[in-house]
Amino acid sequence: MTVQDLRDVLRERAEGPSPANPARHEQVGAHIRRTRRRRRVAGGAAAAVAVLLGVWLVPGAADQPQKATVASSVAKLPERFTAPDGTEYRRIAATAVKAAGGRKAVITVPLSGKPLDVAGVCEGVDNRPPRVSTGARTWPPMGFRGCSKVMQLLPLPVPENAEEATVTFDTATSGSACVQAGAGGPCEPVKAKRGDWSLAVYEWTPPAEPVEPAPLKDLPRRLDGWKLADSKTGLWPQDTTARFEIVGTGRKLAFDQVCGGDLAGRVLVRTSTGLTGSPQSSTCPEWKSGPFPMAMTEFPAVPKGKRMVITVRISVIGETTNRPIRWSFGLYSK
Amino acid sequence: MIARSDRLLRTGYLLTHDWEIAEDLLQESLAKAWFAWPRVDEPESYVRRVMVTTYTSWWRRKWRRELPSGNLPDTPCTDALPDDELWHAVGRLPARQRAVIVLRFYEDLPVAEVARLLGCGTGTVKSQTAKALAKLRVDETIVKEMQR
Repeated sequence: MTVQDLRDVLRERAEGPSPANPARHEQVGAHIRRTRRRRRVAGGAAAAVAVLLGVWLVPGAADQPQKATVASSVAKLPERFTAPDGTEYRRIAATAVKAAGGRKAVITVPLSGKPLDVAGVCEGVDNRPPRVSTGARTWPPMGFRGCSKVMQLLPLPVPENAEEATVTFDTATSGSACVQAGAGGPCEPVKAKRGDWSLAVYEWTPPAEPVEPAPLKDLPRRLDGWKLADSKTGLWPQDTTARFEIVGTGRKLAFDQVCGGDLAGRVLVRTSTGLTGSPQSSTCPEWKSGPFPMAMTEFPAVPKGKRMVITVRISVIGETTNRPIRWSFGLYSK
Repeated sequence: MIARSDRLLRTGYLLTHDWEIAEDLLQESLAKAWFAWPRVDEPESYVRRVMVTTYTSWWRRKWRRELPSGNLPDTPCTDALPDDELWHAVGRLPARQRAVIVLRFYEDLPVAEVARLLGCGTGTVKSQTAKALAKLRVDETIVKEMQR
């Protein structure tokens, strides 16, 4: 046996999943208070506890406005949970951006090589949802949708070969807009409304085997005056492209899509025809119940007799190991 | 900074072989470090040092859950210890030897730094390393190499 064997055993044991302890901050604080009582040391303990534990235990707690909010955000975002496809999530850091506090929160998380997601829940009224960045290039920019008490999960791409990542949640740069009350009236800037965001970073462990999503519902044969002309289905990651070949009839064409699976919301669909310029991108909605989530991409009418090929490319933001995604694309004509 | 806390927890696990005790050890060490905070230049190194000394003092007093045995059985089934056996063998080392092994081969600290953390001389670290590796049946030529 060699020293390298010993190193390997130590690393393997130490770097297995460690039990997360979100209460460590409070527990060490209690420990210090007990010791202080015993030692009868006076003065300034609360502030000092916050400083030390902020530095050591709470990611991003050096940001003063965030300190008091971490405990409440922890309560709203569970320490562990299991996704419907069986994927285990473990929270590795938490923070918050409160309506009355700072506009940004920054936390540093260790990188174990497992995929990371960010989670957010929001209370109140908000039109400035946090954008998320780690320094890794992402397109489109990552950001939460509107304010919801239902947990939103986003993939978190991280810089390659890094041992830790600094995650910034920023509500200060969400863009701007104005509303025109009437024709010719002034365009009034939309007032910023800020809710209370609880935010966390989760590490997830891919399922041991691929977990295929349930089959998708058939696309509607008729849809708001459009008629289904052709359709294709597939399963990511095996099937990454679809191709529709058509001969023009002089009628307009349109493309629509639905996806299924826990990571369906991370799909980007790019369609190109060779007739129009750059490809068009769209996300891929899920359709579990209710009316069809229509989000058509329309193409100009193809001249009668002219052949056209529509190429569809599928990509997914973030990791999808053993978490396949079903897709179904339809080509409609008027 | 939670990365450092997590790393220290893992070091604690290698020392104690038990995540709960490792958590206790980490919390006790952080609490102790708090009282010395104004004098601390290198926080991580300081807390690691407190962890190691706290661990060895616990072990001396009461935390003898895994009793060390002087030697492994004379007639092992195989020349090389399987991973599980090696892990258990590390757990059977006396506290100070176990600390030396963890600091040198997990934390990758040089002999002088381990000596500083344990509050002993470099000669003691070398001899403790040699004894521990011998008990773990690590190749003796490599044991000698590690004396540097």
